Amino acid sequence: MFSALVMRSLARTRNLFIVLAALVALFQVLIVVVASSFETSRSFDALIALAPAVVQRSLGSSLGVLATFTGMVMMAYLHPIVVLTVVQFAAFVATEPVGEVETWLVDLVLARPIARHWIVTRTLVVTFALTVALAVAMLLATWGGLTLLAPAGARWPAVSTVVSLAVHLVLVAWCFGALGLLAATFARRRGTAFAFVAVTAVCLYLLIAIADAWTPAAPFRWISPFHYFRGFAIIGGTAPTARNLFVLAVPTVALSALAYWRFARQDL
Amino acid sequence: MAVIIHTEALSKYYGPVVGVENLSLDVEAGEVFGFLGANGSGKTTTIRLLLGLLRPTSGRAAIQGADCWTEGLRARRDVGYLPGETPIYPEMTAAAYLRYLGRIGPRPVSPALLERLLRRFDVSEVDLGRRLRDHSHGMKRKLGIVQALMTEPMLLVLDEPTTGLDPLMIEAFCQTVEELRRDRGVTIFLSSHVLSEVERLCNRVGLIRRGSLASVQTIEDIHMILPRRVTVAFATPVDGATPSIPGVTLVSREPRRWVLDVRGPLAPLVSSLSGLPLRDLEVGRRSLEDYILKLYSE
Repeated sequence: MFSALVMRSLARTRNLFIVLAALVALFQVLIVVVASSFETSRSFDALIALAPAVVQRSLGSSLGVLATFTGMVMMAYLHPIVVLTVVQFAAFVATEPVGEVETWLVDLVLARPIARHWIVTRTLVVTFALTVALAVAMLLATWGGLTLLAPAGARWPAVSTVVSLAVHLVLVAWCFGALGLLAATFARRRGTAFAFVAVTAVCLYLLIAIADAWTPAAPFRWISPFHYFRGFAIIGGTAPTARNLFVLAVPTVALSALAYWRFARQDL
Repeated sequence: MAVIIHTEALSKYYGPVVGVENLSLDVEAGEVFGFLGANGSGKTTTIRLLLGLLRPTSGRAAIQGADCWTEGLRARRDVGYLPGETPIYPEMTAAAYLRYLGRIGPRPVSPALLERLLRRFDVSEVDLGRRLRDHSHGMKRKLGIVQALMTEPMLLVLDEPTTGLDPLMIEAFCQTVEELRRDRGVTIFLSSHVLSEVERLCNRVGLIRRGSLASVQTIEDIHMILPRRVTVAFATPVDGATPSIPGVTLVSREPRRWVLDVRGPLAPLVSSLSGLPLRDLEVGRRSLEDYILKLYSE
């Protein structure tokens, strides 16, 4: 029974997943193409010189990391478009329960001997699995791009570093997925739940950008899950990876537990 | 008889709005129970409380002794449900829809039974291969009925099952209900607006009004409660007084025609007419509709 629920949910998300996986994979390949171009023309120094002062100030020594073939390839995992796409996808998938309430499909499913927590568990399984699958698509595209397009002699990024970036990205997405699931237990419309999480994600992403540029906002960085996805520190090998992943896992577990609690008690 | 559905002072409020209030009801095994009421009177709320989709504000509902809220899985282990609006996955074909609902059902679906149901409700292979978004409302309704019946449940909860069906399919549905009751002793809890269908299918009828159960009667009792309109035609004018019989009320009188309302047995009236030049006697039967209108007007 549970596998049928999971398969149905996967089938409903299949088309969106395929489109997004193709887009993020294409983005990885494009980044490899751009990085290859800079590497071939040896223009990374010119890139640093072209960066506006404010960017140079906010990125500091990270700009040097970015302006290398390796750094630019790994940048694809930090790009706001990629990060927010993965996060919003996780949030969208996680709001499926309220979509089923909205369309009365939940009546059809829960009129059968199916426990309510199966719906939450199914949603978590599907959200987590599809987010991982998106990250795997990105990794495959990165390596495919490097194999086919990287100039000879270019230094490839370390597998462990790229995987670490992908794992951080997945954990951040799970965090917002869990928030989406919890929002789904409060809202009566999927659009409301998703919009809430989508706007929250953008605000928390901007909080990090603002905190980088404006000192008074810095004390609030810790609120944002993106604070624990310190891309340049991961690339530089200075990030406290275990601690950051743990911090990201805690709200994911807590929000999921709250969602279980809410869904078991709410009127559907 | 074993009680299959039991509600006890069941209440559900949506903030200040009454969903159902103090609803106490028993439905016995093998019974076809008609649940009637105007739009928004609490029929669907009651059904959703029975299925554990809503949490009672107070009181309790149980199916086969299992509390619908705290022991929902046990309560729903043998229930077939047809919602008022058939929810669909628009992108699925009808065949995939039935296969999926069969897989999450309480027991495997017998291919022979499914085949029989599809034939009875005139669902063809072509229909099964089409996406649900492309089906008519009536076809979705038929698929809804099929999914409710295909796992051979011992309790069927049907919310306005014949809405959108053509007369042929309504007849097929009524035959199916009669067979299920007769051959398998299935208990059926049926909400409907189609009173003729309720009158035909149900043993008992519960009427819900503004969230409260206004009355529960057997169809026979309803017929006994309601006066029958008797029209007496005479061959020649009759001048004498109308007979004074308990339960008989004169509605109108002309020299050759009396119209009377009769409660209870007809025999005393028929006896009293024996000496008169009787030409014709027409006995009308009040319908469930009259009963409901009467209750609503009270």
